[in-house]
Amino acid sequence: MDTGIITSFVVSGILLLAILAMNLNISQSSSELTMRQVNQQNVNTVAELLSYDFPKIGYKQLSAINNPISVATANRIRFQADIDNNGSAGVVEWFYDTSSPVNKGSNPDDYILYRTVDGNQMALTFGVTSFNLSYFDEDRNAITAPVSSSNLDDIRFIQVNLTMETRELLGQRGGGGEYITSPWQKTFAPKNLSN
Amino acid sequence: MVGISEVIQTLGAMIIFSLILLTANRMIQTNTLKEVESEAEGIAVELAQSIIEEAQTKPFDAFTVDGSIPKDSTDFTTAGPGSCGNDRGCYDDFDDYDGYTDSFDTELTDPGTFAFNLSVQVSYVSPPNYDMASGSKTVPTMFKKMVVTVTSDYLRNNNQDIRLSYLRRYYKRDN
Repeated sequence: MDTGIITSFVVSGILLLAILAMNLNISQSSSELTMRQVNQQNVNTVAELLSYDFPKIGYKQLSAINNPISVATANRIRFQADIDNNGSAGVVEWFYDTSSPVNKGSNPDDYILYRTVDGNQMALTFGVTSFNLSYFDEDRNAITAPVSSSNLDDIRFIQVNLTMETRELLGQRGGGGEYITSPWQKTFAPKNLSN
Repeated sequence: MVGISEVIQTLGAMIIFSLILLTANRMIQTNTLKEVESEAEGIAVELAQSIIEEAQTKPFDAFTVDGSIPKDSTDFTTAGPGSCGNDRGCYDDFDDYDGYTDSFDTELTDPGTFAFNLSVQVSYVSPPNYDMASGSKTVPTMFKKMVVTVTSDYLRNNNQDIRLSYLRRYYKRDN
């Protein structure tokens, strides 16, 4: 066989392999993009709920609630708020239960984040792998969690650190892979805790 | 000669493919950059909002901290942190945040890199534009404007900073 034809076969073989690798790369990138978007959407959903509830701590239509926070630990907060703006204070609780793994998907690190309003519990199973609450007084000094009942009235700022991961592993060539991680962090300064 | 022509054709195909590959790689890289940048934008906005929300809980001016009611805007004090400097825990009114700077670690970045830098400006501003450029630290009005700027290398793709502003008005009931 002609040397030129053999060479062109070899070159086109390399070309085919390169096309295959490029397809894999694009497919990987596309999967990562989709998973990250879904994860970001989930973070936004939880963030919206948190941003709806936390600023209302201690709020009640036409009056105020004394000592609205009753429990404040690193993974649980219970407070009173007129969440529906209907004139009656309800009890709201956020609790990250590290004894309740989410049994959907392959991620072993995600646990259920519970939001309870007046006894109605909502389990958020979107892939929350970390939910940490930190508390600060009016001088921004950290208050050690769990906050003792005598210090609950000192809380002025609440920092929420949330990390969410995809339920499924994003596979990589050569084995292994990673879960897509999206962090979210915010310090709330509920107006009704000011004074 | 036939063999050489096929080699040339294959090489031509390779060149075309290389161009496609470059474009595809650029697309993948752009996607990844955008992903990171959108997350960084979210983080930057939350950082800025946290400062604004915190400042909202503070009295309008040092003059009103003890509940005093000003006769007019001339009672208000010069904007700035006074002796508190950059100690945020010491701030007790809205304009104390003027000049405040901080750097933050976030989950997006490696610990200790402090990749997000925040700076705050507060000035008295006037209608109708309420713009900072024509505002003043020393000439009080009934309006204060806070501008929080967050910069980060993660936001540099379009040479972009995140800037949030908040206009606050002092309300006094006229008798």
